[in-house]
Amino acid sequence: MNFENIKKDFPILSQKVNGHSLVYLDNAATSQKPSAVIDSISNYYKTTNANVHRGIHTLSEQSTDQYENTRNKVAKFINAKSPNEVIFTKSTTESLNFLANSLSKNLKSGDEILLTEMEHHSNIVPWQFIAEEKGLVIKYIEVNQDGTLNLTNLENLISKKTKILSLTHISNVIGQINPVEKIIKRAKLANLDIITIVDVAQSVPHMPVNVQKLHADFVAFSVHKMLGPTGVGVLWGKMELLEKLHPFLGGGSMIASVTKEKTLFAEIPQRFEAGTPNIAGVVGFGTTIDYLQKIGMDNIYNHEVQLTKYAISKLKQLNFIEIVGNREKVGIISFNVKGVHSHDVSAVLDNYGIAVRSGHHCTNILHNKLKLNSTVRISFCLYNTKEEIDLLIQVLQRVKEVFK
Amino acid sequence: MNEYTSQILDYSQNPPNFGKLEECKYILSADNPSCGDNLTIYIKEKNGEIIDTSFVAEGCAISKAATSMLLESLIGQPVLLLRNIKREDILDLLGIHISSTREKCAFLILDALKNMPNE
Repeated sequence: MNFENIKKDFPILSQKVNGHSLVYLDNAATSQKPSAVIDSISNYYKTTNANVHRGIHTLSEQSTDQYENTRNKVAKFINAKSPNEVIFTKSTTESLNFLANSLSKNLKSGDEILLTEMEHHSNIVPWQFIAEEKGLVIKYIEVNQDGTLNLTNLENLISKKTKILSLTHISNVIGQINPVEKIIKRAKLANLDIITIVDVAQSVPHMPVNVQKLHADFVAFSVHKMLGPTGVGVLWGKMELLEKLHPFLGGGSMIASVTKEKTLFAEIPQRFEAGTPNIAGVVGFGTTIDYLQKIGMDNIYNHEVQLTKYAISKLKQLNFIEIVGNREKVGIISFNVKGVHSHDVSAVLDNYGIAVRSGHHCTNILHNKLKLNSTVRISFCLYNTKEEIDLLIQVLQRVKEVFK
Repeated sequence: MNEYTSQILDYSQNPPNFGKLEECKYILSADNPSCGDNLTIYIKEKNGEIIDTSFVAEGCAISKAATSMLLESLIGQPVLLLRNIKREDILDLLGIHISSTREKCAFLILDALKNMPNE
């Protein structure tokens, strides 16, 4: 696979920022979009726009077909058993809030939820909400200094009271792949009734993710981090578990019948998609999957692993850089320039057209654990190149000169 | 690199008023949760006049320079002034353009001053 020409597919990347060619290294926040995806959204509005699952007219049928066609593509993309297991939400955050709200209906005071210290706030705060409401206990798998999860005591964290295990596949700060298959197997051995949830928001854009192989009960991700539009997320769940879930949102589309006394719900997945969804976004997501599959997720993974290795080897040559976590990373590297605040690093980089993230990246608990005030994060996508990493390294040397 | 003037670099790297002050009338704190920054300012007064100031902070160059310069400018001013400090006052001291993404950094001290007790 030749990644040299891929940049041309992304119109935003050809611009200059502050007089320099844009180097976009903030892909873990959101990725850029190829022309094919932008055009498909535009074409949808120009030629097809109508509400889904409602009107008996041509445009509504076409709109519904395109919307449902994406569901079929998603199911194949993540190897779901059936498209009906794919629920469209607005984001990973909404998917996780949905699960926290719906699963908590069957929980009682004293029940336990197991998370990890490296979770994004979207996989902590919704659980804190329901824990407070229901009197639940939240426990955390600790993070080691090398950025791995401390799994030696995993079984001690699990009892009959543990009802939910929710964890990230790849931390949005550390960038290392967590062994979720093994963790889930061990958790289920310790307590077969645990419901397992994997946040794959940072893995699904960069590597093949097979939900059946993960052995998870639910997975959540966002489309905008994987070249697709903002405002679309996915919740995948095993059908037998989805059938037990109470809907998160009530309203149009999700009902079979409504009387003054009672509402009967529609079949799954409509049951969980109340209100008019982000139809154009879902249609654009269909094109996104076509684009990713044309390149191949294995190729994307290999390209990004190579870039990450190259960046780490270059960063390690600078004696003023401290990298978070020292195991193999995929597409995400967080670090600090000794003695310089991450905001100042990213401000100087921005002056050279290099976009990175600074701050704590919605992971207060992780930053506190690793005794970090904040970090600079670079994150790659299929369009990034080694030349861009060389530029980054040059400007980081400039940062050190400015703040000597 | 317009924002990192020598004055801002000096104030942020070697703030003349960094540290705690004993026997202060006002010890006010603020933090910036989105970047993990935190700030505590110390203000000493006598007969309604500010006679000394200092601060302790974790933060970027802009937030430390803004805090240090503003606190320095307050010495000799009436305590009443603390309730009337505006964003413009800080921008005048900094003498640089502050983009919307850096406003939280430059104006962190205003959040601390908002915690002045009502007397």
